[in-house]
Amino acid sequence: MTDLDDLTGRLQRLDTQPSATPDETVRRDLLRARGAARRRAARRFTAGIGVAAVTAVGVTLVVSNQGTTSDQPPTIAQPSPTPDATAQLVAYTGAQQPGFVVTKVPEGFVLEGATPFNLNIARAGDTSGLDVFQDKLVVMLESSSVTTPPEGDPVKVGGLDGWLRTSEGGTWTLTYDDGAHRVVVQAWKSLGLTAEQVVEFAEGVTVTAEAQAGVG
Amino acid sequence: MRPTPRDAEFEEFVRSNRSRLLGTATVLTAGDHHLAEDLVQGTLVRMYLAWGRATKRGGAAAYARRVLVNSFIDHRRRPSVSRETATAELPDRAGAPAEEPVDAALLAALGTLAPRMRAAVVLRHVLDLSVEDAAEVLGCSEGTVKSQTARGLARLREVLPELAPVPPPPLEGDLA
Repeated sequence: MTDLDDLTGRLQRLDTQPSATPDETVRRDLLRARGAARRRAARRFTAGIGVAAVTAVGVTLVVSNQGTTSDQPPTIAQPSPTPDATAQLVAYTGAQQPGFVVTKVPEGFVLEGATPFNLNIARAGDTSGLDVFQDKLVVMLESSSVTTPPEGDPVKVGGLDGWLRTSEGGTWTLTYDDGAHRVVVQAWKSLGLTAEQVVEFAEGVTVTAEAQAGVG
Repeated sequence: MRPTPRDAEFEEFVRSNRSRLLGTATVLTAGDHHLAEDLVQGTLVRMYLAWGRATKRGGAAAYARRVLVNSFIDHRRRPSVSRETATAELPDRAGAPAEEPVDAALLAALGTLAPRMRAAVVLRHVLDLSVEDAAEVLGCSEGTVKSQTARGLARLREVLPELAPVPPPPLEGDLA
């Protein structure tokens, strides 16, 4: 056997044969991956809020500028969502998830699941996962990284302050204080909820001790 | 938390491929089991995040191998990572667990190669990939793979004393 044959033979023997992976290892890998997916979704969600805030400021400035060239006084820009469909809120009597308790959901929707950071309410049969917020109603605590005041039109949620805005052509984002937390509700535009329905839903939300604010 | 179809597919992928990925990572890191585990965990997370893309382009296993090798090379590029140090002698052990029968001297010798050269040698001669497939993983030309592999093997032969060229036996006439 030549030196090269010996060397390549030794290299080939470094290749390990596949062996069984313990269930616990698989479980940890999945948890780690889902956590990363959730954090990424939260970052995108926060970025969306930032875009919405910038858009809201821009719209307000445009309206204000228009006011200087007409006799109309400056007004707050009003969201004008164009829902894909109409929806009705119905009482929810099923099992609750840790973190957020809800009393109402859009008709035909179920609790998809929850992480310590968000509760997803989705159409029955939706299996897209908890890191996907499209076509869903999502409840979470405002990210602990947010240092700016909420943007949007002032509303009252259960008598407490809230701020409602739209993005993505009609997706609602409601930020409000429940007395102990700053809560964020996002209703995707395809749900067809009105501003009043988003507030009505939020008034039925109770934040429990399991809920955690995301970071980023 | 309700599992999704992606979760089920991911779990199956992990069951089928994790040990092989870890073995490859261990060789790439020249026997650094902790770094190998970190690289595999990072690779699996990136796989999950890009699951649709990972399972479409030539199979998930090939995608994972590409992510793993690139993660290894990127890791070695970080300023905080200590570079290879030239030493006169090979260390006695590569640090592998005692129960694993590994070629510690060869792993240590691999550790003297630059990351991309080491990756080329591992892809070609440990994983037995073709030059074309190795070039795909490394994102370089086939010629680069060939040259890197040849230089890597030459370097290994230099470093491993048992593979040093053996002088030819003396001719009978010389024995007097």
